[in-house]
Amino acid sequence: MHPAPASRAELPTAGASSLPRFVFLGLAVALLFILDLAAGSVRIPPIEALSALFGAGENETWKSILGIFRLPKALTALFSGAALAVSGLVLQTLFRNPLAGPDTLGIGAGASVGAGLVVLVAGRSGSTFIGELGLAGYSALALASALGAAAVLALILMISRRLASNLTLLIVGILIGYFAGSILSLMVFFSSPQKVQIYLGWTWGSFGGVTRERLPVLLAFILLGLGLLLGKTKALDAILLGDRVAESIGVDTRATRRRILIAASLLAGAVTAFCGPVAFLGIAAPQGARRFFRSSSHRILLPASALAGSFLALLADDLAQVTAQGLVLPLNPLLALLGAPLILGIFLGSPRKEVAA
Amino acid sequence: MRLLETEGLSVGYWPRGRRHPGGEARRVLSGLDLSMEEGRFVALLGPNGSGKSTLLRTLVGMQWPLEGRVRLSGRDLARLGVEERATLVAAVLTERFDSGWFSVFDIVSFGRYPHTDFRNLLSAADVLAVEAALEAVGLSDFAGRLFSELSDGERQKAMIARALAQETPLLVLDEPTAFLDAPARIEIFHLARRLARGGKAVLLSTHEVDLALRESDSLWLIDRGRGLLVGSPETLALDGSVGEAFDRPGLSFDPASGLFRAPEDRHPFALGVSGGDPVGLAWTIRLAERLGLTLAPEGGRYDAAVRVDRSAEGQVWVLETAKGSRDLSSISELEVALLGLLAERPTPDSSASPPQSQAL
Repeated sequence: MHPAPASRAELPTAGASSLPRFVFLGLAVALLFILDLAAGSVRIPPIEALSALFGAGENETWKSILGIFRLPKALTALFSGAALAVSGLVLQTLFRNPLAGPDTLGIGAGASVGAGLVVLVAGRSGSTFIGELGLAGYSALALASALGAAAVLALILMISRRLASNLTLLIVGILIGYFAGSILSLMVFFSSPQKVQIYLGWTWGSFGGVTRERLPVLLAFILLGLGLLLGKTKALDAILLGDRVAESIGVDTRATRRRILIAASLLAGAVTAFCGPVAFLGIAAPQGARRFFRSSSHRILLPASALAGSFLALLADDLAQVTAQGLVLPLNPLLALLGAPLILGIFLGSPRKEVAA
Repeated sequence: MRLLETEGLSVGYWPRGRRHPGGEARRVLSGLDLSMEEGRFVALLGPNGSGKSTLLRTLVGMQWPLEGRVRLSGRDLARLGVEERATLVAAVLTERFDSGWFSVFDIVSFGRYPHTDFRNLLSAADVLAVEAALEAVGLSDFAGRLFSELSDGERQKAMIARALAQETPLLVLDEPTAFLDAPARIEIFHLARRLARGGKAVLLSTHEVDLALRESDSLWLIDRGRGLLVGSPETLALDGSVGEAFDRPGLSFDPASGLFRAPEDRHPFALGVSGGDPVGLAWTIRLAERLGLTLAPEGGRYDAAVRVDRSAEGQVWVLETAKGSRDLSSISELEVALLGLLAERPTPDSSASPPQSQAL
């Protein structure tokens, strides 16, 4: 973090000690990434998968499977996981609440409404298959989803100025989630069965729906969201100490809050549009990162959460391929299976101060 | 140099935010022409809800003034950017937060924020400033500890160190002694005074009237009726302003001792107290007051008299009553003896006797 005076060596938050952890987590993510390329209805040995990736393999079928399906899917998992985790991290910072996240604050639900409007209402019947949406359509879907997410976040932020308690805020988030959910139900009710089926498939959550052509759109949104947070790590740290402290040391809290809101909406909104409402990852990954890196500094937590998010997403996707033998398990139940015990473990296994943002 | 200056400043709140200019503003304090110079320690005193925090927040730019102007080091506060402002004034306001995995060093280094670029890497000079700030508050040995493991007093000192690391000419502390034990409260006041002697201007709001009277160079006293009064501690104590600002039924400021006292019904039993040992004498008087005895005026009528002296074995209390004189070797023996004397006399009907305010 900073040039270390002699006494800094034993600091619990010293930046130097986090390097081995980054290496470890990075290797784990790389391993899961390769496994994700290998696993599926057609099994490809990991070594072959790796060499095919670099154009060295001989099996053309494997090559096309990898190029058309597996690689985009693995990359989607890699980046979506990172995006959701970072979105969760900055929301936990913004609300100073370890339980904040794209899904608990109803932001996922907002994104779903945005996406639902495109899929269920706006699309011409018959051509509204997500699979048949053109690039423009997909961008519209992502944008609508991000706008839905931003609308909910803005609403929550507005309410948060009137409510002192973070707990109340979470309850508000849950209520907004219900509200958005009922709007979705109504849209589903008045929609055609065809669209509803597509919509329901979307709500299961999957990294597999993003084709090679669409991947750049998703990546653009994610990179935009991440870019907004670049160079803002210290302001994010300061927000953790409360608005008064932050303002006293010269942080423009309004601008920072706005930036967090936009970044979190872009990240969560885009991922939700492309992969469906992915639950738990946004809360669990930053929690795990905080615990694993024993740090509250965003200089460490931003990359750490991103890695942890990629790790969880790839792990869930690997499990989805491996367990079902040809079937692809939906992502959300798996993530809840992984995430819920993780969060519970973190809360039970540590004093409050370690859990909190 | 004037580090802080206000001109016709009014602080308070607009009804439902600033966007309703038609509404009646709630004025907390108005017409303030205040100023602070370097090297001064000013204590802001006032009863609960008198507007101390509102004033401080306005002075550091976290709340808009209703009217008037605030200048920091000669520059108009309203025209300063957040970051620029942070180089002129550092504020420690009351706000609890969860410090997670931040160490004390980390927290204090937040004070360097306005001095670093967007990467916020600490230079060697920044590290020195942080270490100097830790040293100033006596927390050098705590640098590597987790902030969350500190006691309330240590936390407060670390937050002051954070403000010091900011290296601003003006330091504003809002009730830094709240929730602290007595020694920690005194330490904070000593620290504030030391910092002022070092050249900073320190403005501190507090409920600690006696400490503020003792330690500060100047008082800003908020009186609900008369607004904000400025003066030296002695001036405001002697002219009765402190008493007027804080007195309430059942409690009054005693300018002689600088303490608040509750006038209560006293037992008519009059005790004469004298002695050659000033410390023993002071505590004997306190014992008599605690037991609710009347202190006999010098040369006046008394039911019993006690004389405190220092002998070879230590303090000795000579208790003189109608029955004769007894030597007591400890103040607790004196208490037992006095309680015995009281028990022999009928208890006064407290409801019938008017409350007496008793001079020392």
